[in-house]
Amino acid sequence: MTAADVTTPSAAAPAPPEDAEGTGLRKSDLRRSFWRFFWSFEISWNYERMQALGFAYAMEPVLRRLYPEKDAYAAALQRHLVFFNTSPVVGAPLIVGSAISMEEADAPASAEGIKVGLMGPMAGIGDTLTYALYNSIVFTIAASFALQGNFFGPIFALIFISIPYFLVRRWQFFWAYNRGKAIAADIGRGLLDKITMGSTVFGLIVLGGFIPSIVHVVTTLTYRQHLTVQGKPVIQSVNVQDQLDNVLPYALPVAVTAIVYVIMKKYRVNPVWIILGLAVVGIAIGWGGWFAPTLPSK
Amino acid sequence: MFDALGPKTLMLTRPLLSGTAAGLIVGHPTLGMAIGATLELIALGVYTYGGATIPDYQTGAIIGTALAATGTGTIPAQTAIGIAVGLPAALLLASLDPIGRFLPTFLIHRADQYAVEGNARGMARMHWLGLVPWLLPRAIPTFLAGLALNSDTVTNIQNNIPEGLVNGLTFTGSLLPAVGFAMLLTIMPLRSYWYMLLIGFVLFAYLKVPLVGIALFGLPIAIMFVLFANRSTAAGTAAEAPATAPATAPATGATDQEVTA
Repeated sequence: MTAADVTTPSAAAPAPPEDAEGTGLRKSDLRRSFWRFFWSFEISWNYERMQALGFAYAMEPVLRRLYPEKDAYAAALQRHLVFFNTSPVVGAPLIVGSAISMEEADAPASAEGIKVGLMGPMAGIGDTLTYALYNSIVFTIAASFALQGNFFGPIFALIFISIPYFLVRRWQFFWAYNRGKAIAADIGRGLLDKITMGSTVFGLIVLGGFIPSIVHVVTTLTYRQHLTVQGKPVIQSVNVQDQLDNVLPYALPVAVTAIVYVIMKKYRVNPVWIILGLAVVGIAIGWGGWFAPTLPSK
Repeated sequence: MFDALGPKTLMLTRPLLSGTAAGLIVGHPTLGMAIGATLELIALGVYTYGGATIPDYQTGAIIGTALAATGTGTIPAQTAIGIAVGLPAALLLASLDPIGRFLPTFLIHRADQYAVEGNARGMARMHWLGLVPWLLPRAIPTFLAGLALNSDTVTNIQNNIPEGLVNGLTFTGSLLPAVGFAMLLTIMPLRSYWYMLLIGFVLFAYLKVPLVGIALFGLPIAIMFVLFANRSTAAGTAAEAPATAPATAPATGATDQEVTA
């Protein structure tokens, strides 16, 4: 905000020499726009226009440079205060960057077009990539460290969220700005499809290992087996869990996850009810002592 | 003590981090980490897609940690209590979330006026004020929860709670990540790629590969998968193109455009 104030006099002054370079954006304008985007894009999120104010706020340093006359500047601000919503990490920086390049090319209609055209698809792709895939993997690893009492867990999450998310946003922003109009073609060429497919495969492989390692369920049930050892009848106590492990290790965690998945997917039960239901069943069964997170050490 | 826990910065919007931070503040980092990690795993597939309201697990982790830390007992028992408090708190707090999403609507109308005037500073003020309705519905209940339950209450609960219930809560805590995973799976294209799950499962269950190892193994497989899928589609279009292009090219210019498009 203080940086913006410094530029106020020069932008307000209608000096002719200023006009000549007024059309060209400076690197500092782009940087200021990026930092505004980075720190505050979603803080004024609301039901009516969602990320609109964040978008306009990020565009403001650029618009101030491009439109020295007050009327045009005010009109540009209003233009960018329209409804906008997309994925904040993968998607939004791309769109802000390309909207800037189009405003610079004196094509506000194209800026408008790219905003409307990209925000929908990027919302779906971006949310899936960042939240569903990347975040889940990082936080599952981090939480598994944390559950072992290892402080590397939260540190791991902090590092692997903040640094890549900063880099990926900066890259998109400046890449989109430099690509300008060609960006629609790049996205059309299926670049995003490839990224989405690759991360889906990656995510599923990782999930396949995470589920049995994180969901801890074993049964403590035993049954008696009548054996004949050297002609004498012997009653032997057999642990059900050992038998299960012989057939399929981690069968119970997989079964629990599969049941919850089916309830969620097929019957579309609200997750909150599933959590409550699972809590009731879990407390009852855990209290009864038939099942436990881990087998008691013998 | 509880004042410090209420306000959260934007960096701490996941329960693992908020729980650990809360644990650091109340002097039980291990406890905060354990509660945060459990809630984190429940919250795995839970993100606010398109601005939907979701259970507020990160504030739940803060409240759970703060209250559990006032009691005494073993870490697993305290964790069980923290989850027993934090989970319902997270679900209840979700009902306050729309307040934070609704109130900035007034701010954006003020910002509209500032934009008409070309007043960037006023617009920026409206933008940053958007933080307030976001923070208060979380900070105030956290603060009240801290006031309502002093340390005696928690200790009393802990002394009177049956051991079976603690076992049940602990078991539930280890069961609930299944909800997070199942939620993730519902948004994945399981129908076409379900077999990928088996790769990870075999690596962990039979080959005992640790989680980071599974992730490192998955990366090259995913890259190869994309490259091969790409090559087969590229080969397919390359094979079709020469077959159709000579046939249509002599006809008219219009079909020529279709081929290039």
